[in-house]
Amino acid sequence: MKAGKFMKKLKTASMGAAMADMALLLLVFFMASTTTEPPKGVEVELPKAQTEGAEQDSLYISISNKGEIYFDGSNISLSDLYDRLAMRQGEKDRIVAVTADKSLPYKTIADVLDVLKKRDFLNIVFMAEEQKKLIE
Amino acid sequence: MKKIITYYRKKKAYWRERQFHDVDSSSVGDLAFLLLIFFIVTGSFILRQGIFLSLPSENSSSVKVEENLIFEVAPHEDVFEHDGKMFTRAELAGEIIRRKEKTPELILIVLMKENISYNRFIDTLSVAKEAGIKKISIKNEVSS
Repeated sequence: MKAGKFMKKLKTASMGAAMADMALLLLVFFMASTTTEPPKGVEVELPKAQTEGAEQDSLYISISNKGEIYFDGSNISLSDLYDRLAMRQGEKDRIVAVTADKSLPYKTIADVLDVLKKRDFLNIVFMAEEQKKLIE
Repeated sequence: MKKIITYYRKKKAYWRERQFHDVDSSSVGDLAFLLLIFFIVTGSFILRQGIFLSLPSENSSSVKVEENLIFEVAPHEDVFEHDGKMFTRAELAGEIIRRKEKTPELILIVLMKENISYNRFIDTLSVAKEAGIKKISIKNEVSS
């Protein structure tokens, strides 16, 4: 058989299916490994500490340096937080991530912790910037 | 015989004319890539960091603890106060580690004044964590 005839018999096949498979696989990987940014509400300067990885599936409370409390991205008062948490009683086992400004007086944190305790949200993570271990 | 020849001719013609019918998957690929780009843009690989703490339940009863198991510390703006003495961060960590060697079940009680900054609170928890303290109690104190 001549090379020309052989080449004519070859059929071109598009790699669309393989491409789609690869794209879907990558898509599943990205969906599983990444997380969307939580509603911040306010920019804060985090304290530094020796930390561990916090769970992504958390309820987020942000507190600004002026003591403004943000829950799910909206500014609310302490009593509103108490009411809002009442509506989220089904999520009591979720971790509450407290993101507070480092210059904030402890009193505000104590008040928020008190509300969380009253509403039975007991798993707290204080968000902080990772710091190198100082003690060896 | 004629029938057999006709059959084979038809079969040959069938295979010659047969076309490959692929499902066009390019649109699926396009869609998947678009979604992929969306997730890359909106997603975040950064793992958020923090210090975990489990609060006691509102209706939990108080427990009696032996005095030698307790290590009280009161953070101030620059130093830590323990037993009436002032400690730097490293000194406090050293003291906790020393006490922890004698009593592994050491409980740290953080005496927090209302006007002390949150940064100091986190720093105290961080020192406790670095020193290997598992049980921490926070006691709120009214500022004098």
